[in-house]
Amino acid sequence: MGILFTRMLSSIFGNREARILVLGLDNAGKTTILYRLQMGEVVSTIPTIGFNVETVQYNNIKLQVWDLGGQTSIRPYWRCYFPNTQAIIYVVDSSDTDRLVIAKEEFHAILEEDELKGSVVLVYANKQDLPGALDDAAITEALELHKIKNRQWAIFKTSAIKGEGLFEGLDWYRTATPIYPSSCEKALMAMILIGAYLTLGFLALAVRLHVVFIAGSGDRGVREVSYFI
Amino acid sequence: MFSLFYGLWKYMFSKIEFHVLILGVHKAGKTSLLEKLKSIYLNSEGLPPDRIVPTVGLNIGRVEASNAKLVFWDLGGQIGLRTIWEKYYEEAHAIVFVIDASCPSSFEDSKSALEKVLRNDDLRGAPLLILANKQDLPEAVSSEELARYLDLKELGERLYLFEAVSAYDGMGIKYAIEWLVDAMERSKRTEMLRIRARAGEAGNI
Repeated sequence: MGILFTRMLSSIFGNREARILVLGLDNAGKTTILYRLQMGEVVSTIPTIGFNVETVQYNNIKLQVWDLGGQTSIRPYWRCYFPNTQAIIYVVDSSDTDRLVIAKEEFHAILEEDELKGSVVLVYANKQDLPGALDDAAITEALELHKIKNRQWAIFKTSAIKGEGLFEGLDWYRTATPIYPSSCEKALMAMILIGAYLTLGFLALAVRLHVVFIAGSGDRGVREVSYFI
Repeated sequence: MFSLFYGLWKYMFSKIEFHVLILGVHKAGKTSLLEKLKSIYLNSEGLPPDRIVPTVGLNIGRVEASNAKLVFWDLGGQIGLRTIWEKYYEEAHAIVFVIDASCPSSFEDSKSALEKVLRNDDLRGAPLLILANKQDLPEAVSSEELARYLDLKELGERLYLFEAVSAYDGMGIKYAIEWLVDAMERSKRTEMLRIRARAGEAGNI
């Protein structure tokens, strides 16, 4: 019940929370992106073994961003984090052209996962500040993004070092997945309001009847009341 | 037993899902059109036009209109992103090409992009709906004028319609979609895609 109310209120006021996974090969820049989003500054990072998780408040969305280590040996553990994920940010090192094939294979393996069927896909073509970085069209081609036909996706040119493109991606996420109260929730809300109204009405009626009853019972009632006092 | 009945039921009553590609040059109003379609046919509020950001990828809209299931694929129109258009051609039943009718300087680009689309063999026989969008603006040209300007020669036997619409206030959209559904139901391409899909399913088994 409480959860329902929270959901209703957040759907009215537009606040919402989302769980986002940041995935990608090692050295793609996932951790730098996470802390750039959270603190707005560049931190020096070491390869992540395990995960980093931070809450990022952006306009009225509260994002729980999970940055999972990308090394080959720990990629199999990504799937432990898949349930209840609204979006995937897949980070690619656009200057690492040798490993784009591996990036593509990992990416399509993730898309096959049942638990991620409902999540939207954001691709960050990262490290645009480096010379020789491929642009968004080339990365689209290399990752074969066109094979995605049953969910929304978008690609952004980003540079975690310069802070470019990261929030544009979040803007897209916000517009791609608007939440409005579903018709079921609207009906429930209406029922609760009607219920509250009727209860109040009955209470008011009961109080009035009671008063009338006491007043109508004449002297005895009055006597009882005065006795009581 | 149940699954047998269910299969029969599905076979008899399931509607075909039509895939419709929304194409057009940058800033033509493709995503606004998609959002308007969602708000018309889903009774939900679509995104207001001022909150739409340029598409760099794929937006999807699933609606039911005129008794048919439609899946709209809205692709980004920036020049670098047009290369992915053709990857979606093979599975598309029809094309909606959106043109900003209030911006004559974009017509040349639209014309060449559209001609390139029509030359592609993967789209043989796909009905084409050309929308002269942004009719809410006073400087917008009519659909006839746009047709004269584009002067398309490669239409051949393709079913096509020029229609003036406004993705902002919704003018003309319902009529255009009705035409599109009707055209897809009549088109030989639909039959061909269905046969191919069946063959694909059989192949999987």
